[in-house]
Amino acid sequence: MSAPIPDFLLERLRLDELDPVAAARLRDRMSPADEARLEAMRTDDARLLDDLPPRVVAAEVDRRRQGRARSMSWLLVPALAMAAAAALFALRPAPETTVAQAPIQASQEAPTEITRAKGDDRLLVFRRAADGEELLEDGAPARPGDLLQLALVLTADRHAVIMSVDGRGAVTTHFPTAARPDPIEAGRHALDHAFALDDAPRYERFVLVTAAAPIDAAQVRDALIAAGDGPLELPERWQQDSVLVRKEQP
Amino acid sequence: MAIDVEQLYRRYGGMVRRRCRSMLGDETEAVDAMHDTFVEILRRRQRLTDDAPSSLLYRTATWVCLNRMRSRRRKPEHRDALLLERIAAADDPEARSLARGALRTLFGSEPVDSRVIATLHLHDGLTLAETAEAVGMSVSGVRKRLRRMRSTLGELEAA
Repeated sequence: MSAPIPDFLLERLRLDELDPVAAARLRDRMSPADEARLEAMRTDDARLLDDLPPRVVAAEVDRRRQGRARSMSWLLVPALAMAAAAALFALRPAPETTVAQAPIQASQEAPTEITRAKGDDRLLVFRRAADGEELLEDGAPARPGDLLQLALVLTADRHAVIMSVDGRGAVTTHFPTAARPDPIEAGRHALDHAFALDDAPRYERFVLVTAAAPIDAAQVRDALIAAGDGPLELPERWQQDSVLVRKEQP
Repeated sequence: MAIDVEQLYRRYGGMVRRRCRSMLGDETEAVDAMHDTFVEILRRRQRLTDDAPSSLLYRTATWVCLNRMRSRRRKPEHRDALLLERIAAADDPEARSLARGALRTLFGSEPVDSRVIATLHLHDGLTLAETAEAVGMSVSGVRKRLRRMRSTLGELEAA
């Protein structure tokens, strides 16, 4: 039995970027399993374009390219960076303790409020638009395709996990995306990527969990799924913040 | 060279994401790395003269993922990943000897990162001739680079 054809060659065959002789030779080598892999690639391509439309990817690529340039500028002009950070915080309402509302029902719009105490670590959700960033309040409306950027503000060096759950109950881990044994320094940190809201119905709820010791992400995930719109049942020494955006269908 | 990212993504996005997913083993990180791959292509578009875009995108994605793996602290759990981790952690002797940044070696006439060559041949299973075609080098050139990389990988294993 011959070895499977390397992915790279199958990809080039699918793209019709092999010369005719090499393509014919490869087709002769292909087993049914290789044929199935080729078909799976076509299916995967279609799904990707549905999940992540080209305009969204192009916008995100452009943002990253611009963002890198902007970061370098900020290194040169720290005073401007401070002013920009101050402007962002000015958009945030004064931190107060509020009361969580009733659980989300399938037929309801998502409720809006969260519990937060002064001095807590915070989760910030921004919507990227042509004219800049808009800080989304808890309960703010959003639409599928909106490009969101997450940031966290830590009051001390801490470990952190950011996840979200959508109206279908799907959980996404936004941070960390790889093992991270060291705590994050106190201060404001923006995640280095934005993402587009999908068409899951009703809402997307984002949570930030922070702690002085490493956090078990699986525990956060389980608690998030079980929590509805209320506080997550987590160890008391862990802090949590939450921002929920309501989905408006186009 | 002007680049239409939407068009490039429409045609090659799936391939790039799959490449990143197979190397990183995580869907979220793969999508993130896919975006970075297109950013890298854009940042050096003046040097793009490649007439085989799939090769260029594939090895750029490979390079992006190798760098991410190098900065990870998580240890690999299976043999394939272990080999990739070792390649990612290796220095590129060619780039070092030329005193050139590895990033630049992906583009134009500058030499390809030896780690990318090692990944294509040692991990992906491309033959020497297929690897040479993918990176735009001669077979003897690829063989020479691999010999030096094997030495570096051997040193890593012994460490």
